Amino acid sequence: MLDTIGSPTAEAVLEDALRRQFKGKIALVSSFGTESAILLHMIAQIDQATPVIFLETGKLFPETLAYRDTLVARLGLTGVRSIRPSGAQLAAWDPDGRLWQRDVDLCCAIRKTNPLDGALEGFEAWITGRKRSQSGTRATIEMLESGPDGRMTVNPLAFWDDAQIEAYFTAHELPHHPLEAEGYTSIGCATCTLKPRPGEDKRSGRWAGLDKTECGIHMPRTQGSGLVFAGNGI
Amino acid sequence: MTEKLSHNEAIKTNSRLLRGTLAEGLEAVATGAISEDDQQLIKFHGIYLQDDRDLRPERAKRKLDKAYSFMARLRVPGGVLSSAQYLAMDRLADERGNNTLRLTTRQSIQFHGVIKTNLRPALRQIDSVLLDTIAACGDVNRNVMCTPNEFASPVHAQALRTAEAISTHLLPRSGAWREIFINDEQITQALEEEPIYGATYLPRKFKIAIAVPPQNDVDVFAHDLCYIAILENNTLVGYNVVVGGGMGATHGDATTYPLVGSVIGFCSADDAVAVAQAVVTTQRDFGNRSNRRRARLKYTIEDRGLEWFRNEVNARLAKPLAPAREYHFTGNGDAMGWHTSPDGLHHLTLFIENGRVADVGNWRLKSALKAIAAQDVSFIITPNQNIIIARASTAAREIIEATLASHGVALRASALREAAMACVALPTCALALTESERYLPSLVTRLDSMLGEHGLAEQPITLRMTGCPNGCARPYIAEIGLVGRNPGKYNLHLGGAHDGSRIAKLHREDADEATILGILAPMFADYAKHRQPAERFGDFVLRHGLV
Repeated sequence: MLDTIGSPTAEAVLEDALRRQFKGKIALVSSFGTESAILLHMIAQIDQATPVIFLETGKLFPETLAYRDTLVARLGLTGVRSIRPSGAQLAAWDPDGRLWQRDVDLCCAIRKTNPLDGALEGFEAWITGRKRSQSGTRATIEMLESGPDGRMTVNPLAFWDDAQIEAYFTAHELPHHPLEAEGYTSIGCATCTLKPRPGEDKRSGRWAGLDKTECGIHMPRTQGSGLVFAGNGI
Repeated sequence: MTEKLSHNEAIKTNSRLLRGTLAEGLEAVATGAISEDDQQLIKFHGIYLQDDRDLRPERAKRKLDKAYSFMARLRVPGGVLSSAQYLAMDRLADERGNNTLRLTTRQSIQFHGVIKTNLRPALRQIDSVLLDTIAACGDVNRNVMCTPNEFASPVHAQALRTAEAISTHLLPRSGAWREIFINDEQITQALEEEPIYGATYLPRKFKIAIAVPPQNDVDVFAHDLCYIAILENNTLVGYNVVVGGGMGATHGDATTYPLVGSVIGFCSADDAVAVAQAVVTTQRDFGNRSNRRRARLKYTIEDRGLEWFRNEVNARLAKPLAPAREYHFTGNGDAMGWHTSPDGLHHLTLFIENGRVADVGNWRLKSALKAIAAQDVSFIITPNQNIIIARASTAAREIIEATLASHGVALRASALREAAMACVALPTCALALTESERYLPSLVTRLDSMLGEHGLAEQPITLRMTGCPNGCARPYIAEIGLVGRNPGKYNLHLGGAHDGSRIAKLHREDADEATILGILAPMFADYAKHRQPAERFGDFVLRHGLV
């Protein structure tokens, strides 16, 4: 199914990945952000026990945690796990909780990338909600790619646009993230997320004012993280 | 006119929305305890400081501090856990607790024996499977109960959705729990708003439950606010609203007593959350904040009148309560054993004596449940401290039965034992005056043999015991209630209704076991001879003037 010429539907790609190609070896990585309900709803139709990895960075909006609980109950998801940063890494690199002000990349590394890499141990592939329409850096993604960490990534919504997203929420009566009503379009940590200004792209409120558009979980694992792993032994 | 506020009110006011000095207290290594004020605050986060009372004399002799540890209690509306969540709790008990799980009378799980350095790791393990302990104790709405089983009936699933919505709506907005126990840091510097509770929360604990008739397993007459599901053509149309029940009392204080709640009207299912907010805010505004013994909603209503209360609640609602509808309860026990739902799935209500999940000798319940959790099933803790293994396929059912058998676990017990319930009491509960969980099983054995002599072995009689008058096991509405008073001695209450709708009468104070057996033996004999068909023991003793 995945190699079909043309555009298989997101549901078909997901079903193929969950039931066949990566059966038992794949997890959805979800931020429980503004558009996450779509993939969560789709996997719930296929298998409510699908592993779902949620990166609880310690800096999230309380509304995100509440929204997570709402969706989990509503969709009957039983495989959601909340992954926290390692205490040793926090103690070593962010003892005062203000690393985000000093070195935002390192903060993302110890609060998101490293915990994700740990949580994906044993999996061969992961599902992401990335879309070409989100921003410049994501404009060329495919539905199935070789991922940044050596695993495959499945991006079922790669080609979805805003109209499709909204239509899906409406058709399935899915609740929106509570902060969307306040004008947030992409939601990460409370420390590093602003509402986008009118006319700017959806992810422009992320690390606004910095030359940074991705936290790093979708970036190749290279140098840099090695520095952080050196802190593991502490 | 205005009396001095209780000390707890000052603690709440000065706590910066439940923070106090908990973060600092958890870091202090010189003691296994925390400060007295923080002991009050930590309850709001679902945690009590306790100590092993069995060890007190020996440690005192050796001039050692008490053997402190913490008890943590989950917030899990309706008691529903996925198998992954159950497995995580099983592991938590081994790694951070005392190798047992204690199912509670509010459909939760308690972990005992968590020492201070294990507390944060334990709560992080709980958080990692999307559970928490927020507001499982303290002067707030506690775990919301709901008649199981959502997987066997759409109506029960609807009721559970209501329970979850109420639980979420009444959750403190303070981020203190996550900040203190999970993240170890503040996300933002600003204090949150508490739009429902305000900075001083409620005057006292607040308990909510939802029953789906004909079962009254949650005991709707024993909590501050309850909902009775009203069904028409097998569809849930709304709820009767019951207010002002409550078990707690204080020995020797005649101004305190257990009360059953009153039905004050009907609301649609959509309005249930709004009703909860109206009732809770009325209690917030009018509850007694000077005397904690008189601070429960039942006394607010008693002092001001049910009509006043109904009007006050209606004034806070967009749509006032409608007249109550008809309902009928058959009992307050669980539907024990296997049941099969129309979709062909099987559900086992497994008897668990006093809710204690453990491995003892050849009886290895904890290991059995852990093995069963490998199947695609859900776990539901019942209001009577039993567990439902839900959603089992026919193949899984066979595996479950074989697993229980190979671990020495029986599915059922005698009628009396299945209808019996004890609170935790000694050695961990600081309030306990007597044994309860550790003693009730042997008393049941003696009573069972008496019942057997009279051919009453099949007759379910609710029997409940607590180690103090606070009433966690809801003893005052049992047909036979035993409330601990002095070591080895209990107040014997008789004549509660089998469906939990009537308070039992205090029959004898300070009864030891011989006295209890001596009182009950002739009553059982009378009951066997003179009862009418289907007459319950609680009704019989009243009709015959035996109490």
